[in-house]
Amino acid sequence: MLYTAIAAGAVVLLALLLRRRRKRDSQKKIKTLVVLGSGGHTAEMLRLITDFDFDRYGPLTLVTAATDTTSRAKAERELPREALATARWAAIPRAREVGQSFGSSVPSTLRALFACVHLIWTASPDLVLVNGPGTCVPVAVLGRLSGARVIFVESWCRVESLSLTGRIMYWVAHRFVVHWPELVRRYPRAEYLGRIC
Amino acid sequence: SISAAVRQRFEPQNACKAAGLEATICRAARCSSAASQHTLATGRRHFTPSTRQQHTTMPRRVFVTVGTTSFDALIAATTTPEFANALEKLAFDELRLQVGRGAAPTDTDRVSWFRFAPTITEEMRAADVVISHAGAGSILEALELGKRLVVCVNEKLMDNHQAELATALEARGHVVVSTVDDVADALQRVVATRPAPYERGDAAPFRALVEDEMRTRRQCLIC
Repeated sequence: MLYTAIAAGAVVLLALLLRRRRKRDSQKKIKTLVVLGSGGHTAEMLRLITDFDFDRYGPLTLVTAATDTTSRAKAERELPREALATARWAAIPRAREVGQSFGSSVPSTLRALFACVHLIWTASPDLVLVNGPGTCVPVAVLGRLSGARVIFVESWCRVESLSLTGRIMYWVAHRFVVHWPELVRRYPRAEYLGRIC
Repeated sequence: SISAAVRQRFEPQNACKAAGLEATICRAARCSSAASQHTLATGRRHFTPSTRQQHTTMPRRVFVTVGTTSFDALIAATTTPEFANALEKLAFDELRLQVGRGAAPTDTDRVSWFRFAPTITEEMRAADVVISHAGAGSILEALELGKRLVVCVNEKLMDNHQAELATALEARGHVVVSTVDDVADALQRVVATRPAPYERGDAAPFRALVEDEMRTRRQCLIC
């Protein structure tokens, strides 16, 4: 009981702190933060954003996991040069490695959480685009608390059921996009936009 | 036997020579022979009747890929004598296996294999039919290259959401799905039928959604 109260209090405090940074006036430029989860997630996300109007949706903050070596290279190949010139890169550590002991998981998760707080604080995005995997959840949650709009795109390979990240993000994201119409029946808030990738 | 890498490197040059063009260094992108251009455009080897006469020795190849982990059952199923017979009947000359971390198959003059490649695009491009595990990346790669694809679902995997994707694509006519025991049949079916073409998606509706979201005013507590 006490712990939930402390946790809730911490969340509210965090939200207030993060929100204070946001300039409330309407800006023409939309600061965008994009999380490039590894592998297929990166490939899908790059396909989605590569034709964006980066004059409007810039400057870009691109976030990769600390252990991901290929996403940055992929992005530098596919995104237009103007977007990359003003883009900021950030890396967040993984909360937990596969098979890590519980004891050491607590400090590593806290470290990852702090990195996300720092990221949202400094980037202060207006828009957060994520498509999984799990490392994007704290970024999206903190982004939403700080007043950004969060748009989540489920993976192309999910046809009839959502990934765990998707099921969490269903409640966190402002807009939830899927690649297959079968999912809209089960998850009414999901939006099917036809073949987008 | 000529290794696949060597063969691939020289294919465009052979096409050039056969088309009567003098090209000592024929970089594929600059090669202007019709056969090579068509190959580059579609990723699928194609020869007009006249050039086919000059290219009678182009081998037909099946490429099997298991992804970044392993799928020993599939590799085993494609190296049986029955499968070799099926290949012969369907006029395939070569079998190329990407085995990942799995057990190494035996090398014969028709079967070559490797574990990993930085990108399997080139291997897929050089094949006529691809037999793949049900990973989304491999499937998408093969579909975008316009290859006939057999998707083999690994039933030993827990949480087999991969099967959903394979089934959905099969329902739309883009791939043929099979289990490990059925691969020879599936190969025959995929050769006999034309897959529905897989068009690349258009992200414009997504951009419209983002734009719409940014323009909407929101009045809520946790906004």
